[in-house]
Amino acid sequence: MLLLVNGREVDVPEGVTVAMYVAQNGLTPDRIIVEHNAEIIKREIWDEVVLKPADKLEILTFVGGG
Amino acid sequence: MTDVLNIGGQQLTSRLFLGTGKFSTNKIIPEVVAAAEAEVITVALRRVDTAFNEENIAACIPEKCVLLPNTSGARNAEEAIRIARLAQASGCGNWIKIEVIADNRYLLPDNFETIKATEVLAAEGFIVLPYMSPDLMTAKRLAAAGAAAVMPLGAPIGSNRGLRTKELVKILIEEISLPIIVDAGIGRPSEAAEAMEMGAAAVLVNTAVATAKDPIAMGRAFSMAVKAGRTAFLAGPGAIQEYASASSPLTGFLHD
Repeated sequence: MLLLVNGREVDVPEGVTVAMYVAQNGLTPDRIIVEHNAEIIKREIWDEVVLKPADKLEILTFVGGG
Repeated sequence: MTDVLNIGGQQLTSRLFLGTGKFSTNKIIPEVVAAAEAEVITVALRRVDTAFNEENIAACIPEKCVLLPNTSGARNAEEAIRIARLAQASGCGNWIKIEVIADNRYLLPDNFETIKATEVLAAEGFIVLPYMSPDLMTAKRLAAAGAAAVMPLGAPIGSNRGLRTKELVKILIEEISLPIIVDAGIGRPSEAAEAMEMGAAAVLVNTAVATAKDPIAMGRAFSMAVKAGRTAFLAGPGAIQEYASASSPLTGFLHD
């Protein structure tokens, strides 16, 4: 199924949770912040959020800045 | 009695806030922070680039430091508010530097949108430090909106042009009771000292340190400059005069 991750179209198998997506993409949970369909999703419930077609995921992290 | 800067309930002994952008490598940041003796460290929030495995910035910032995420990238209040809430969701604290910019050439902040964002975020309990163009009415509105400090620019971000807005910043220091933190444009330790001598509560420096040939040494230089300027301010500098006034008595000369 197709969804948007950080503005780019991505093909993800059905039934994948946010937690699974994070793990499968080698992302470090305590370094990222996840927004699912414009809602901030706390790490504790990542494994409860199942991704659906046309979902919008924003995965963010802190970078250098002034 | 130690000279302490109180912002949002945090007692800070360092008046040098440090940015983490533009370093050639993030690995030197811990040493720069130590040399600069900085306590408040700014970071930005961006989409993760899974293709590029960058050294994580949060890992480079000592635990005892106060993290100050900025809302860079926000073009209006709504975007700034969203970024602030996302930053807070990281669990790294509730300080936020509001940075709302829609001008790509000079990166001058949008004071109007900044006030709007401050109103919302201060009401949500954030410790808000708004980055602004030095305008007295804006500063008054930011204070009324619940900002914890006001951060006027000295010159455009990254320009190293110093205190081009000196006169306006002086007015803010005089008229606004909140800490005034000069943020952006400071290019030399002498300029940081100048801001502190004027009565600024602190300065935020990024480019001048990050792009120096030796950022660690430059961090140290800025630390000394900020302390010198602050000490001078507290010592009460002498008056600036039009005409000369001799240093020694005008009597007892070795001539008639």
